Amino acid sequence: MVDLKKTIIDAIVQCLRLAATHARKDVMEKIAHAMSIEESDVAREQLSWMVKNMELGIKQSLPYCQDTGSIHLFIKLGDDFPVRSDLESIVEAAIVKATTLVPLRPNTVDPVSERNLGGNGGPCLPDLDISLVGGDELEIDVLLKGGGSENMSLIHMVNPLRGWDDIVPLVEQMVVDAGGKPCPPVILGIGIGGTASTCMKIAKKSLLRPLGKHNEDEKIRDLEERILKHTNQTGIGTMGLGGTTTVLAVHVESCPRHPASFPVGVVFQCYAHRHAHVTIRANGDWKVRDDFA
Amino acid sequence: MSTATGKKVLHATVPLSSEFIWNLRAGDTLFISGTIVTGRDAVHGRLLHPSRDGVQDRMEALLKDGVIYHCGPVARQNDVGTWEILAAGPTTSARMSSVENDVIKKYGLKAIIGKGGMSGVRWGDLGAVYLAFIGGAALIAKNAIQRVVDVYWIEEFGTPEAAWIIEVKDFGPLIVAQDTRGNNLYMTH
Repeated sequence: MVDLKKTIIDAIVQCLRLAATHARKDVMEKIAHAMSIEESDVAREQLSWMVKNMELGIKQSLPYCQDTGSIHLFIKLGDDFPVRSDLESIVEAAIVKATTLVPLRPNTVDPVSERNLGGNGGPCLPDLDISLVGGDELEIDVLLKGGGSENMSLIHMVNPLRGWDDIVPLVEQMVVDAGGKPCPPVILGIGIGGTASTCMKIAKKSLLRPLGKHNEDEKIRDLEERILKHTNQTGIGTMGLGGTTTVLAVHVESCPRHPASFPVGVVFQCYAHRHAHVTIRANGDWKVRDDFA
Repeated sequence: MSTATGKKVLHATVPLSSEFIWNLRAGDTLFISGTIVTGRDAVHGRLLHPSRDGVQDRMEALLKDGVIYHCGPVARQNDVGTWEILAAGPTTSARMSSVENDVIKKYGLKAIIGKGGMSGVRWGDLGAVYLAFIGGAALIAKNAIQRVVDVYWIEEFGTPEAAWIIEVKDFGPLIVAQDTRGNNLYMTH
């Protein structure tokens, strides 16, 4: 009899470890491309040190950014997967274990007492999104979001009269205002439509796509390309020190909105983009998707 | 757009002299050795707090002509109580902008290390510079740390927010991004 609880804990710990220590292949490729077209010596130098640092993460098996972030888990729970209501407690156990083993920085601060609670779990944490799907699998995307980039994320309620036309200048201004704070070159996850909460949720979920993979809708794809072009013309550059590349990729998702509302949610993700994905079968087999450099 | 072409690459040891700081120009690259102190949001608040708990006295000695590094590391304590820093990249400096003038002045600091730059800090009046480290470069930094000398306020603030007194060797590359002459590599500060 397979101990599924233990299996899930092992799988999540492995995802957290890989996400924190092992750079993704698509990120390394985007940064290599950014270096090849960069016109600023300072930016090219910074990018080359970023790559060196990520290579050290792989070599030393240590977190290559000290801010191991707020943990986000996007879960698809199959109808025939045997673990149900105890999934959240299993996730919590995995996070406690990974915090010691990887190790992850204890990043939970109680906003009332202002004390660090000494771990990465607790009420409302991790940021958990569970969808119920068919089949006998449990699929988990683990995303680590550092504070610097999360702090730049915003939702705007634009006027529906102008909605669509306002998106590009709005995002461009946000990227300029953010400057070097979110660790550019960044990845932008953008949600259009929905409610205040669903808009930000689809914006965040869009970060799970392979880097630079466009939305299948032609009009949205065109929007993604225009935002990428305009934000890279701002000159903000790597770490805000000026340069050709400020944004590595733009992912836009949409969902229907209320007639009076046109939410545009923009989530910044730092260049490190720490993300891992695992599939766990009901029989206990599990496999982390090979997305890594 | 500034480039590194023709700029100096320098090595320096803390404590830093006024003359050395005044001669730095935006775009120069620096590697620092000696004892520096990490401090971010909570430490800045405490450094300026009117009530003293004794740590401020030790801070005065450490920070005179010294360096604060905006950083909240990943740290691990071994069985005999010795701390090791495992990852130590910079945090976003802008959050500390509103209080940094007072901290630099009160403690006589010569440099701030961080990422993303700062707004409203009177570098020229204070005779100090802003040194930009590469965002996220936690292991480049870790490998420059020789040892943890001490740690203050860890019980109260936790590992990410404590003041870590660390001895570094050739810590860098640090780009002089905001110098004493008003030069500034950032477009948005």
